[in-house]
Amino acid sequence: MKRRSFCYLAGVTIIKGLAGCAGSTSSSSSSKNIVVYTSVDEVFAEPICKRFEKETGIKVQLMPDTEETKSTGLLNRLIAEKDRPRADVFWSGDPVRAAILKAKGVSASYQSPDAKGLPTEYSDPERYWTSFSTRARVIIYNKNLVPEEKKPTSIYDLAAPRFKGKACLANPLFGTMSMHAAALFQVLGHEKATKFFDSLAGNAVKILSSNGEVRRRVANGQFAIGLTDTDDVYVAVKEGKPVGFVYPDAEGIGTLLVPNAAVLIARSPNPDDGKKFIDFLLRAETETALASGEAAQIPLRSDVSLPNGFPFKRVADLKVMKVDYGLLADKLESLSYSFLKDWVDKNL
Amino acid sequence: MAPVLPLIANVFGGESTRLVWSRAFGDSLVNSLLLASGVATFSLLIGLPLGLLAALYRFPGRSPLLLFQALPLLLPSFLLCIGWSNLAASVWPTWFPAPSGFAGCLFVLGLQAVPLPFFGTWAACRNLTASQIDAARLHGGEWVVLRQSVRFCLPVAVLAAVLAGILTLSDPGAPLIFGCRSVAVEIRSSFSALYDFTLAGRQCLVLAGLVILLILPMMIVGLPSLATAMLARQTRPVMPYSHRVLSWVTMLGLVTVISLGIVIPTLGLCLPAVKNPMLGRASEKLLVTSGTTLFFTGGAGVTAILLALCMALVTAKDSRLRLFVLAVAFMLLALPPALAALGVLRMATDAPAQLDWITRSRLSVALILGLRFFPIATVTMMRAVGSLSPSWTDAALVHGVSWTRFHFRVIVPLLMPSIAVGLLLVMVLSAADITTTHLLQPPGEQSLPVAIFTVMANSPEGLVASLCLVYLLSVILLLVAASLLPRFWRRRLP
Repeated sequence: MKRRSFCYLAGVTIIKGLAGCAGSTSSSSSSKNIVVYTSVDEVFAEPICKRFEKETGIKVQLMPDTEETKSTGLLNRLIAEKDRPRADVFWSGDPVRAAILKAKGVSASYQSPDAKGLPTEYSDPERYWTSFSTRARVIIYNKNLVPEEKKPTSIYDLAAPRFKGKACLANPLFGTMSMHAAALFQVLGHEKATKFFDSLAGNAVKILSSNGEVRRRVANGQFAIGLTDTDDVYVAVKEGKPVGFVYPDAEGIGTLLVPNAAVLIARSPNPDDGKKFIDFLLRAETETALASGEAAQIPLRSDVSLPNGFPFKRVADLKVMKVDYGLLADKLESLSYSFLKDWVDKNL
Repeated sequence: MAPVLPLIANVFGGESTRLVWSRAFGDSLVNSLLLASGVATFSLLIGLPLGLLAALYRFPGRSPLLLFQALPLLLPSFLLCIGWSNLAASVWPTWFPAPSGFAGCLFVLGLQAVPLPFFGTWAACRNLTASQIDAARLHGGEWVVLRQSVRFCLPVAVLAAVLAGILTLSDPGAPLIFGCRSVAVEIRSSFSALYDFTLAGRQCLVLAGLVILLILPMMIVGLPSLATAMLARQTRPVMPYSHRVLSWVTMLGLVTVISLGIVIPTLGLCLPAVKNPMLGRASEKLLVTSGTTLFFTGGAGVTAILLALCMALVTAKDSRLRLFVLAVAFMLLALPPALAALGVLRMATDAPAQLDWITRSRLSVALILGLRFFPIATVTMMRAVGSLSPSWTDAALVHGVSWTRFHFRVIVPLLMPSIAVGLLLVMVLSAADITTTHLLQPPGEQSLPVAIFTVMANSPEGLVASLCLVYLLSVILLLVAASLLPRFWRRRLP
């Protein structure tokens, strides 16, 4: 009797488990579900997905990414799955990954009607990716170590003698720092950019594993200044850490913007619902939500209202670094295998 | 090896024209080999004497200290390094150098690796007979006991330490956090910076080939004694002995290793939770992810144990086959986890949609994790099967009991404690494998360790620390369950 009950229980468990597995694969192909891969931090992306679900009734299965140094990354998964993708949309935290997907044949072109009002210079001209809501690359500094009158104003200050051994940045082979490095090579030219990175090495700038670590170590006083993103700065400010930030090179080459990019995946299981999600992402209301939420992302539209106490300047009030985001991916690829790789190897 | 085969086909036919062997890759490989050797030596110098003392002597807090000794193995090295970094940033004395660079990697990875030679030595020592120990003690006191025991346990301890060193070759965690060149970081760069799947795959194969070249001579020389030491049947086991000095030395040694290996970095990791506890949100995350985590890890455990049990029963009577299986098991364990995971991704993409319930579901995650840690389960099951008396098989033959009846009604119930321990070990080890899980998990389904790594970037530090704390407590609970199960099962047996 006991043996029969055990066999029955085991059989039911196995069948339910297998049904669960089949369910988890089939649910993504029904019209009321979409799969969204995202490199935007989960804490920022999830509320937006929930709003989309509430409005449309389409369930979003969100697949967030880890920091690039901590795993092989979602982009590799997208590339590996490209012949039969699972994802419908890729919500990228920067346009360079979107450009890489275009180059690898993973994405499809989509002109969203809700892209109206978004400046076109941050998006792909062929609409393989459309940019919205941005972060900025800023210099974070510890207020206890750097007096207000001596705060840095340019990325060249990372090589200033007063910050020797006290400056840090994330590994320029990964994440938004890699995009920043590629942008510097595009804007300054190879010779000046090489000279700049060599001056950083000469000033004992420390290479850390991520922007988050730059934020943590500057906030804790291990370093005086560092290069990071505005969302990292915002986390530190909200936690009451003694940090300030500057938009670098307001008188010079300008501040690099890192806009989000919405990408439709080619041959996706639910392209129509995927397009609806992209339309939702590109709306002014979403830019407002991303500005109001924990991300404090800067809207690209100039007419989107900002919440009270929004900590960052509008795009129109910034000196923006003029880059061709579409060309950054190729630039980054060549640098990652040559100068940047050698520079990191020598200075790690 | 099956999931690796499509990847192997792809990397040889792939489009990348980049050279696998560059100066940077070569330098990183040399650095990694030095680090691996250092980790092996460090863990052997600490693990061997401690394992010996723990097996031979009684000491206060024996059970919990032995239990906690396993903890460092069960956490990703990233978390331990971040813990040390947090401490270095907040409470570290300025006159003492904080862990960083090669030395930092050696320190953290070495401490994390100590459990392997420790438990290897401990298990080998348990195969000494009481009469051997008594004779040594009578002949020349504790010094002779220790000397002879070291000679007996050394092959196992060395092999375990070397395995620990080899496992660091595929771990980029500590090198990335502490800023140290390693071949694992090179492979990660190929994946995450160059997005060159083919190049990364080729680099993985070079690393795997190197590992096989390093392990093979050791397997040939050392495995027979490993097989004897770990898999031989016990006769009259040695009973731990109370010694006035050595008992306390053992206890203090274990406390020091556990403190440095797990307690202190965990305090560093969880420090922000003291200032800003977010246990409510962390518990919510635990509830949301617990089902998926249990499915992945439980499925991995069941897969690994079923395969390992079959392997153990098949190889029970053939020592050469047992040797071969152990050699393959060690080689599989040393392969980078991304290799199999990406192979499965490719296979799943090329497979027909009707097979998605196997290739693109929670089941595939559980299966691949189970295959990854099947070597651990194999060693556990082989040891358990090896300790069974052959007279039972003879009695079953004499009485004409069928094979299935004998194995299901006699052997499996007797092996239940070992099965449970092996299952729990694989479960906890597979929970710590972020790479495989993150690459294969179905959208919308996330395990708790992967959730920690996805929120790490920009969540409040208190939330990340609370999640780490919740994860650690769950792991400790599982370990406690693993230690109590054998006792519970023995009471249930007639």
